[in-house]
Amino acid sequence: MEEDKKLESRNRPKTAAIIIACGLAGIVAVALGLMLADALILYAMEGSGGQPMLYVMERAEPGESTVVPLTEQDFERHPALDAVIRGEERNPSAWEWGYRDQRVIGGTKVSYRKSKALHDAYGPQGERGLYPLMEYEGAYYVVLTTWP
Amino acid sequence: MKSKNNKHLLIMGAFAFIGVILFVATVVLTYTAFFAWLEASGGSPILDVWEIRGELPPENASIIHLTEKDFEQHPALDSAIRGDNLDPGAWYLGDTPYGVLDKRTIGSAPVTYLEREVLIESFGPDVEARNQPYIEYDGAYYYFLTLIP
Repeated sequence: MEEDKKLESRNRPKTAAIIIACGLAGIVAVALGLMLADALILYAMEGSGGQPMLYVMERAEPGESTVVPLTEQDFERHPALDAVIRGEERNPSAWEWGYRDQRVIGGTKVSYRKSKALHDAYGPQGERGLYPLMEYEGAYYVVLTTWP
Repeated sequence: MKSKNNKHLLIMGAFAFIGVILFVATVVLTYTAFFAWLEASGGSPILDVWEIRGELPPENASIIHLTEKDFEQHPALDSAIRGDNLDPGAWYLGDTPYGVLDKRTIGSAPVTYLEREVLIESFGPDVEARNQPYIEYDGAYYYFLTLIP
């Protein structure tokens, strides 16, 4: 009887280790699965023939949105953003069309992969899904990506 | 000793099996969930473009002259005015944002909700003043509406 108890207490850490290892293996498998699914979805979309676009909207006032400064690193990492905000794709509309507190600064064609990277970096954030306002040289921008 | 080795092998095999099952299940579920969501959200807004004619535009009218850059940056507008979705209808006298005028449908194209917002901000009506600009391209005047499903 006593021996049984000893054996049981010796096996307990072993069982715990197996459960932890199982859990870890599960987490790793799910993470790898999500990564592969993500890559497959991008691959399927790239082949669909649709054209994702990047648009940048300028807001007159920051309001209650989170303001994040745009740095040179952002422009280096996302050349499309650079082209639209301060490069050859800048093509601002007049303030009076639509709602007067915002205007379109420009847009450009991007690949699905780049569109996703831009969406992840500058898209809606938090539980309320609010777009952060990107500040550059005193102006406030919203980065929009569209998937056809 | 041999049975201990067998036990280890069995445990490793069980791990690998669980891992593979979870991996495949995650891939399949995420992939199908994404495309099911895409199909469910299928009803996209439609951009409808009309051409108008007559004594246009009146004095002091706001005119937006479309450029190549505009067409490049708004592919839906491009396809409706001069691309694959160009499909002019017959002229008729009807209501327009500028009053009763001779008009005809020029083309329509599906757009996303964000594209719709971007088009309205770029060439749509001044929401506050309820003033719609005239859109000019190649000597013709246009206006557009976006229909939400």
